[in-house]
Amino acid sequence: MIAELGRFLIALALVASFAQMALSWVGASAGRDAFARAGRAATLAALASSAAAFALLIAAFIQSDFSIAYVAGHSHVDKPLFYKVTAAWGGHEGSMLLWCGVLALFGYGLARIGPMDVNLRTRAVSIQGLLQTLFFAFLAFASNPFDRLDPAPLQGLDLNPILQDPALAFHPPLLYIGYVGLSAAFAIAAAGLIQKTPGRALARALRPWALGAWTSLTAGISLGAWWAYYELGWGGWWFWDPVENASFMPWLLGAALIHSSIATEKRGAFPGWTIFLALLAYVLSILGAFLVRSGVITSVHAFALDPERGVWILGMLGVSAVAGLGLFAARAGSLGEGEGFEPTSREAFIGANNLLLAATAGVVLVGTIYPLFIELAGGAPVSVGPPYFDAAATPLLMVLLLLVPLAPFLPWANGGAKPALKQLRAVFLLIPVAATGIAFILFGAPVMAVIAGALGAWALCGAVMDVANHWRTAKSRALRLALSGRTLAHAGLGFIAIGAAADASRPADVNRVMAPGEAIEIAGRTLTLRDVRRADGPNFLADRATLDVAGGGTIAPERRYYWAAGQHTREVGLGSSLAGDLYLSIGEARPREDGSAAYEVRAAFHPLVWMLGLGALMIVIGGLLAVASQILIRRGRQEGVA
Amino acid sequence: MIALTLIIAALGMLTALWIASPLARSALEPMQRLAAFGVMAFVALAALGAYLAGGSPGLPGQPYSVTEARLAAMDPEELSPEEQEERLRAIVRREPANAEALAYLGRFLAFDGRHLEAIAMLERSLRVNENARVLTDLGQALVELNEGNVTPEAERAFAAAHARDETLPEPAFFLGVAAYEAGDRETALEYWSGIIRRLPPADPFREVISVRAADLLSRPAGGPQMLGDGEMPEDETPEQMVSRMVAGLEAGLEAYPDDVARWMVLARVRAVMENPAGARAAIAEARTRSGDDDGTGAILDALERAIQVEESEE
Amino acid sequence: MIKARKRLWIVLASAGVLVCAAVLAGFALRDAMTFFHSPAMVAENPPPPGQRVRVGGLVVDGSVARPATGGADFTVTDTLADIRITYAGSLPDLFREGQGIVAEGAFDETGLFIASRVLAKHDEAYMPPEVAAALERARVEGAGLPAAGHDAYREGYGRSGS
Repeated sequence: MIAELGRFLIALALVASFAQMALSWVGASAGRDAFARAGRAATLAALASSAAAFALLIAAFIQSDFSIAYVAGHSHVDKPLFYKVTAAWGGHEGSMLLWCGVLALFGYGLARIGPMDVNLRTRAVSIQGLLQTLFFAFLAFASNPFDRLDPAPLQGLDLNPILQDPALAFHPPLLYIGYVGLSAAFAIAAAGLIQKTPGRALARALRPWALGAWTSLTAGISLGAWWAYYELGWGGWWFWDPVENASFMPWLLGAALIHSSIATEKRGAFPGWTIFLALLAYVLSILGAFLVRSGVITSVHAFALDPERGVWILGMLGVSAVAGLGLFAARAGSLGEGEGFEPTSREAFIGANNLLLAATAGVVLVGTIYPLFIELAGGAPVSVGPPYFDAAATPLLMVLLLLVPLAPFLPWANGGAKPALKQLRAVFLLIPVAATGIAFILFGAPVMAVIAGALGAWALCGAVMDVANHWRTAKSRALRLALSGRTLAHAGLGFIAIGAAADASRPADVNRVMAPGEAIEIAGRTLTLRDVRRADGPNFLADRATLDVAGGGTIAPERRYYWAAGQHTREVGLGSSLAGDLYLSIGEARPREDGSAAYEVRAAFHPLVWMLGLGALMIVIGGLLAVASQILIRRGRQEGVA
Repeated sequence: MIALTLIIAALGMLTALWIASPLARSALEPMQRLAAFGVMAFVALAALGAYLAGGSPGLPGQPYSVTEARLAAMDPEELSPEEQEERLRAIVRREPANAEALAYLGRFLAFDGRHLEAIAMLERSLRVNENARVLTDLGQALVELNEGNVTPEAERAFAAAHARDETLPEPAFFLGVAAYEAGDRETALEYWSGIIRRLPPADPFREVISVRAADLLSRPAGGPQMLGDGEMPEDETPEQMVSRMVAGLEAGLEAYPDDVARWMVLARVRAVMENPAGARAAIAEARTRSGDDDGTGAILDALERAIQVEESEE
Repeated sequence: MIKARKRLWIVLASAGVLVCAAVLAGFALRDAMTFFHSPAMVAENPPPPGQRVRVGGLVVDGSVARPATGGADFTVTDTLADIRITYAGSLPDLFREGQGIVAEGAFDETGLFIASRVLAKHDEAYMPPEVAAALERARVEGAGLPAAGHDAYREGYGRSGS
């Protein structure tokens, strides 16, 4: 009954989304308020049905109802309750339901707190209804999480063990709020083009949505990177894997969007570009979904391969791209001409930021889909790995980082670097920058890492100067929030740059087969394997190694065997300190010739890795502060109107 | 089924009403009312249609509790292996301290070739209640996991089982194997003859163990490769080598005439050299030296049979 | 006039950055691209020693040697030919005999492949597309898929079918 009811609710959400699209369209086109209100009612119906369907899916997981194919494929009775719940979005179908639910949530949000212009809002709700209809149809007919198995298997296959992890439980919801949140910016941009709304007003309307979505995307990507760092056991946090790139490209364009929309809203600069970005960011989100879920590209962590799904998503991608970009081509003229600006103005720097971010996104896109094109063209299979991205994308991001601290000191429009330079007191800035660079050189870091580290310090100092100089001139609470958001996010970038540079110059990993009592040395620390004991859990068997760190403390990595899934995993042991993380994982037992047990141990030291986490956290908090500031400003405007 | 129909109908109607109500409320003319009704009908019917496109309304849900109850109610004889496993797992989940069920499950898993899981289950059972039988199973699972080698862990399990119940054949046999692998034939023979002595005459293990023991103990020390081609010095023919070996054995037996295992090797080598009388003499000597022990006797009988078979083949 | 000039510098600056990015990407792509070679392709036309390539196939049953000092040696096959691979690192947890894997690295003079990275997928029913395609070609060319590899590939789903 749960399954069938859930299936019906998905069907209901699909129909409600369609009604939302059609009724709102009529409401906006014919100016009929009753239809607009009916469209708004439909947004709530779609949201409520998809939320209820999601709750039923969770209930089915808790009950372990293996007559549902998705539950049977992703759960097991002996799996801990927490992961029974999180498995609801741990596989393709469930995560698609989540995706659809978030779409409906943003549809409802647009209807409630969308653009202040009523017709623009109604039209945006209609466009969002179109996006919802596409995805709910995909969910209902090609990825239904409530498909049944008859006869039902006795037992489930269990959730992929590496997904049985707290960080990954929250990674998808945040990521999807980010990905899918960009749909609201898309809907507003497309609606504005249809309504011939001027670019400035449109930028104002979509800015808070883009900010919120991008902030959540940042949080989602960071959690994913953190998870990759400690769960996959390779010790990296970013691999330039297609799946990561799929989320990184919308992130880059989102970052460009939240900056360009400031220039467009405040100064009327490059309105066409801003709207184009808003459309493109969501299209890239869907492209990401296509790359991740269709199996066209080799990735170590894509969903299960299914060409049929790929065709569906390609169809949705086509509809969204053609509708959005076609509309843009036809109506871009209605946005109004952009205001001019001087090379030393703040607009120019925001433009440069956008150019660099977009170029980076382009470089990443080329590297990600190049193998696909070669193969389509009948060439030999190739792969494009991290060396490409390191060589092509990193320099662009470094130039970007060089410009970050300068922009806040430049005046709008006519520009002029002199007053800015005076305020900046650039000389003071250069001291810590040079110090950081020298420190990295002393530690024997590679050239790129030295530059990145110095640039990180540069961005950090710039952020400090920014807040010190501008705090007094920020009069209202909203402006102060915006300023704090900006400086926090920019400082976060600095921390990430330093952290990444430090990690890139870490000592070589040590890979050794060890028996109890033996010791290894990494980064000047001696680790002695004390013993390896059994530490079984409810749905896995585990060997836990205990290693003593000379000078106090122990680290206990595990190797687990999830018997229901038939899969081995590693639980990394971390010894964190201000200097960095000692990173240990154990592999399989390798009996010695004399019969004694020895284990493969992989040890690494990741210096200053906490800076990456701190930086990401600061960016997320900065984004949230900026959203709060937008809400305050909007409230002020509404009061002004009333 | 009826409840489902009712809920679906109610949900569909309510949602349709909810979406169409702004239209209906502001409707002034009949056409507008018709539009409101049309929207309502469309939402309800389209949702039903989209549901039925892939739905199976007649298929009841199957929470695991239902499956579990069904398995518990069935006659264990009728269950398939998978169902038996699920049933055992359900019992273990309900009563985590049920040593017997844990042991059953462990044996099942071992039988199924899932040794890692089997070992974990048997160990859990042993933590609740130490039992010689379960210890033996644990030892055997460890042996199978390690491709037939009696590892120190397995040896510990067998030793514990042997200490609790000397009449169990497997622990004694594997302890013998462990001693044999370590090169200690005397202890191996002790274990093997001891367990054969303790077993009732009709026990099939008696035969199995004595045949195996006869084969192992009569192998020339240094392994069978000593008779193979690879190890042979170039200036020596196989015959020369064998006779050199026999000489060595005989010299050894003069020094240690009570070494029964050595007599067994001698018997086997003599049999290979087509000297059945010598072989029989060696076995008879071994019998006397062992003090006509019943267990050793059975092993020597088995050896005698094995050698005679070899003879009749040639 | 002034407006036109302002436009011009924006366009020029944008074009400059984009050209730089394109050149950067082009060079990086040429250097960092690694070609996939199936064992049959290697047998026919081996890549020069030292060139960075990817190879892949099914891990041959019983071919995996794990020396007590760490690392591993194993053989992959596409049923037409074999490649012997040596890897100094820690094999991924999903590595097992009969499974499809991809290794990145280079051949040495003796034809031994020295891998710097071995990829096996998180999802155990996964078959890297290149490996799947290579096997498909091999099948078309008349060689039978080894039973062990096939079974291992199915193992993950075997139990849901019952």
